[in-house]
Amino acid sequence: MSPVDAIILSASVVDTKALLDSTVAALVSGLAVTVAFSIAIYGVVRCSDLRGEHRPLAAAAAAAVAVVAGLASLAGMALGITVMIS
Amino acid sequence: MMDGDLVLIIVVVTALAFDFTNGFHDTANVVATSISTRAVAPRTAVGIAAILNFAGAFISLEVAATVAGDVVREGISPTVIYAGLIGAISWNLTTWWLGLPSSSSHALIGGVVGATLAAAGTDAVLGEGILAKVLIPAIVAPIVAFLIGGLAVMIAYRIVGRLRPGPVTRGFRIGQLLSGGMLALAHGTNDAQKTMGVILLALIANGNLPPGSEVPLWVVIAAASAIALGTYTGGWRIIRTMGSRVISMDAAQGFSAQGAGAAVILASSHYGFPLSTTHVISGGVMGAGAGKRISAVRWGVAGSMLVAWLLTLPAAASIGALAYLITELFGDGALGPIVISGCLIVGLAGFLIPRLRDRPAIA
Repeated sequence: MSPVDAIILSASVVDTKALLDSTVAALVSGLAVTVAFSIAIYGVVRCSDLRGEHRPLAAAAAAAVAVVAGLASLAGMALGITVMIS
Repeated sequence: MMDGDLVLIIVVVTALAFDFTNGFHDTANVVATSISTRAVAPRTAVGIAAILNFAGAFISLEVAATVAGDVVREGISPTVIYAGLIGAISWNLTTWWLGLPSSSSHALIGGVVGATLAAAGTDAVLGEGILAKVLIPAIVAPIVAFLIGGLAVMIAYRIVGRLRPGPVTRGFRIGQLLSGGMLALAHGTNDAQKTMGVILLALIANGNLPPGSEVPLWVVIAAASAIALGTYTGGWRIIRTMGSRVISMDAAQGFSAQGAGAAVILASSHYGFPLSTTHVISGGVMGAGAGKRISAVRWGVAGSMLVAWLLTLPAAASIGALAYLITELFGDGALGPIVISGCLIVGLAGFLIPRLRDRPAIA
């Protein structure tokens, strides 16, 4: 079987939509959770630094960013489990 | 007791033994990154992974349906399934001994396919199902995990790169508790189901269940328990390879690799693709390494792993076929499986069990 035949056979039997959907879902969820969690860490560390610099308003804003991003990353993980169960 | 029922009992016990080796072999996939970045103590990591593996086995049954229905035709004898399991267990133990993180899933599917080919020829093997549900996802999934791991770590470094490293490392270590937990859950979901699928296939083959049946609850509980117990026992040799020999990992890389692995496995399990969790998390680890610096990945070790991956299907298939031919020498009854199981147990007792005392090196 030539490589072209193999590709044609693969395309004819593979559920391309399911494969593509699972790839996109993994890519989006994997990256989104990492981004959200990294922003949460950024918020926590900046909040600590800003408090040390006696800038309470900026520190509060950084804390808010940390909380929102932390909740977003937890929500992303919960969504992953929910999709699995559904 | 009928001879067929005795063979069925041997198949179920052997399938659960495979599930145990699956958990034992794949513990590394789940915990190696957390241990090597010192996010969690080794025993704690393995204990948490075992509990979440158990829980994960109850989440979905899509993969079990694929293994039971899309790999070989329903109606093959329980003896064939038994021989396939012997092929899978033998290959798992061999690669564990060599410290290579090969795929338990591919060993299982290879073993069952090899035994089926030996017993009933090519007509009994569902080539399209294997290509569509096993081989293509096997190629795509590690590449996707590599991309996610690489992109995730690049983005993470971009976001936290100018901050003080101490708190950032502590933050990602906390994150690894979550991402490692997700990975353990995903592992239980995808891998325990493969054993459920094989037991379901045997129950249908023996006439205990009609074709197209769903997985009985006792099978789910037994498979979940076996993989959790195997995970808790822990395969430290492979943990060393995954945790420190492929890349030297920091906490951000560990978090990204685990997140990539969990995302790919959970998404694929939802669509019923029986993935190799080993290949996926290896892809995530290499991606997280390459995302920092291409030369950070020890490509020689990665190459050895690739060879083990490529060998898994044909090697397990060959052992499965050989095991079937040996059982056939003893007739259609339970004598063949009893003789092979006896030899395997004696071999394990004499050679492997003393070496299970291998202790964690990454403390």
